Amino acid sequence: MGVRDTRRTRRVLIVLLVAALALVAFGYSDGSSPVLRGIRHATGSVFGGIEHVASSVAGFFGGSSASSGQVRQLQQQVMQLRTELSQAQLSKSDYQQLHQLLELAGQGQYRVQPATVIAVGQGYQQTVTLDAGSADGVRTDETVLNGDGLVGQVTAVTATTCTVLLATDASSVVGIALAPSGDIGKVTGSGNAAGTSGLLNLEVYDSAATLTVGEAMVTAASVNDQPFVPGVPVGTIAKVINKAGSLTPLALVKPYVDFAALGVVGVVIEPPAHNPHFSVLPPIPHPLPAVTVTVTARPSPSPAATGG
Amino acid sequence: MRRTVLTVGSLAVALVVQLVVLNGLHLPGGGVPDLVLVLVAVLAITGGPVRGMVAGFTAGLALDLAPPGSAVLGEYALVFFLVGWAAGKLSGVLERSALQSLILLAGVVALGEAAVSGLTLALDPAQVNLAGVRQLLPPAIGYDLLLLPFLLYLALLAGAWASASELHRDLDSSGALAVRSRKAQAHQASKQRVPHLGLAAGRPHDGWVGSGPASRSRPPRRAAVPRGLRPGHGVAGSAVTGVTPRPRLTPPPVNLRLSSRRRGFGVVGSPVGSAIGRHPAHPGLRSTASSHFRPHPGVPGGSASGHAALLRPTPLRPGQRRPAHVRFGTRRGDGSVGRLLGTPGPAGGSAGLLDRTGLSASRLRFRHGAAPRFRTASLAPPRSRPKAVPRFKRAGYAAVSPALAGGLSTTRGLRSAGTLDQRELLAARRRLLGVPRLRLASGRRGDGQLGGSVRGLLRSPRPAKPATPRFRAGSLAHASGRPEPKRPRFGYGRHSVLSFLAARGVGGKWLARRRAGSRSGAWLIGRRAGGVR
Repeated sequence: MGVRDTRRTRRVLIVLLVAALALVAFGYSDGSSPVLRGIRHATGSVFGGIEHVASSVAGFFGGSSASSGQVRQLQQQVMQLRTELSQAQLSKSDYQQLHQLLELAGQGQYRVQPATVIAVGQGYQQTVTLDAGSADGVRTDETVLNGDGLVGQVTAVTATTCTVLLATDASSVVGIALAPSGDIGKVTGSGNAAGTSGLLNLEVYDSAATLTVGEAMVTAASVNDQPFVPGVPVGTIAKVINKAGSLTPLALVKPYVDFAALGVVGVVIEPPAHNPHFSVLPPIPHPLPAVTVTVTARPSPSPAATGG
Repeated sequence: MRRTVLTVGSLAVALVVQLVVLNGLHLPGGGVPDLVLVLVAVLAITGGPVRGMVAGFTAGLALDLAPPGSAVLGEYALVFFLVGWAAGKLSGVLERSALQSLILLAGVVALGEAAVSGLTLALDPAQVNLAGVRQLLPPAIGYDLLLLPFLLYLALLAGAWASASELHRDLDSSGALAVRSRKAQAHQASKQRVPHLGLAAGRPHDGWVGSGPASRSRPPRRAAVPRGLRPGHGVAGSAVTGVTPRPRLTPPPVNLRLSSRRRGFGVVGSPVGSAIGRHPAHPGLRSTASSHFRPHPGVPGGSASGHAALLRPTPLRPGQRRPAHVRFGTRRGDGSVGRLLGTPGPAGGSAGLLDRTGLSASRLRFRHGAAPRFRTASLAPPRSRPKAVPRFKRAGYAAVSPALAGGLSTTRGLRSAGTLDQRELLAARRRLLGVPRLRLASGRRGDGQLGGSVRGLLRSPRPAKPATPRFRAGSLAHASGRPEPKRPRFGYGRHSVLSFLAARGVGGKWLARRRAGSRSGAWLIGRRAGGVR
């Protein structure tokens, strides 16, 4: 059917095929070579600038996603606070997220660099690009969090942008400590598969540990606080998996962070002086004791008795 | 130019939209549309394989490198480039049927999405498992196919706009942009199609079809000549009328179809409808920056232009284009009017060109209804000589083989008179080939054509190298009785690398084994003896 290949077409085909295969081979064999990192750095700063501009344009039109109920509830307060904001481009939901972030950072004594998500990775990997880079003090292997908890870790940095590997990525591994017991384990992402609906996989190293649904966990300190600073809330146990063959307890974890609606996040550029342990965890929602009022009809004394 | 800007701009916008907006969406089903992939496919099918390949490779590489970037560098470059190639191969289908091309394009896009997933699975198994692919791939493909018709429509619109503006500009600069009135169109339609060639054009620039060499000693340019028209510079269509176009008047209409009884004959320039994509426009329409033809050596029958370089290898200047190729004959190959042969002679001037050669004689008078049949006789009469009247013979010998022309160029006929009669031609043939039965005129399609088509010539990236004439079976190579044996490209022939090494004693034993294979000596002997298998 189509067009017969001319000589020129064939030549272009061969040249580009060889180039593409060479690129794939190069990138596959040595993913972290300095040459490759240099190329990615150079192009990243160019594309990052474009993405930055485009994201602010897109944000102007769409705003970041947040539930409309929240927005309506906070509208009054935000409109009041907005006049005081120096950063005029912050949208309402962004403000809310920033507020939460600073609150969390204050609790944990983290020094954070706030940043906004400007681009999302292509394909199956779970990565995002933030609009803060080495010029803002961001380096690789730093913890990224938002007002709800752990988001991920910084994997690559350019001058104005950085790339964050989300905790839901299949290749992400986070060391955690369970809240009341202090048992340590690891949480791995489940990738982009929608079947797990964004749950993470937990594996606790202590084989004798018993897991209960609703248990909370925070990050355990990594070596030199890289990539994870201690005490960042990760999530709660949603389901305990009892597999007969497994040596260690397994569970599914529901993260605190809504990865579908990432807006303002913070990069921890200075770890806390001491481990905050579990102090940053959100309060466990205690169900209020239900007050039940039972009214029982008491029969009135019979008129015959009073009369008598 | 405009098309390239459109391509690059749309790809850049799609890339940014993909990374900033689309990838962050959470659509039902889980996947997101791959806008860049669809755009590459659409650009390829409207622009051809080369454009598609380059666009796909560039866009894929940008997607690989732009933060957050892909896991393995080059995976999108590889897949998108292949998608661009495959979709570009479908560009012929697009001209036939929209629905068919849409369906095929959908298949290409779906394959591209699957290839991305497969490559990720193969190269980065930690990233994704098969269950995830099975879950996310179908919705992603579905969203792609939703986008596809709209993008294709937009690309067709943009492509038509770009080519229309190009065409408009070129026609405008040639002064030939005009539309016939309805009445004239009806009149034309009712009339039988007869060749329109400038009847006895008396003015210097009249009667020109195609282009002629620059006239250095012509009378100065007339003011009435529209922009881009110079005396001696042929512009497609300028020969149609003998009327000198006056300024602020509608330019005279162009009869693009000259003496065509069949479709495709005598069309000057590429048909507008096909200008959407990869067809290089005819030199007459696609002018260079100066909007007129440049003088360069041409040959009778533009298809045979290859042997101009054989006769006198003049390297084309970088901006120059290959010769034009206009046909007027009733039969294919008859009466080709190309550029005229630049004869290396004292009259050639600094550029080695003759002034006003061949058809420029402005003497081509045609009876009404007579189809012009030009012959090699339209070659180059020197200006000092009386103008040669082209002879019209029964059968056209429009194209001359390089060997024949090379032989003829030494004869007096070509040099001096520019006219060859049949006897001289036959004598030259006999002298060269010994076989008089060389049929160069075209009875069938493709016969007698030397070199590639115009399109092939235009695409040829090496202008200095003459195009090798290709003969059909039964033409020159066969007639001469000395068929050139085909030689394998990568064999052990005289020019192979292995034989080169072997001749110098490099790697003797190893090479010998290469040549013989790993068979045992007994096997070989037996085989040569014809006994054992």
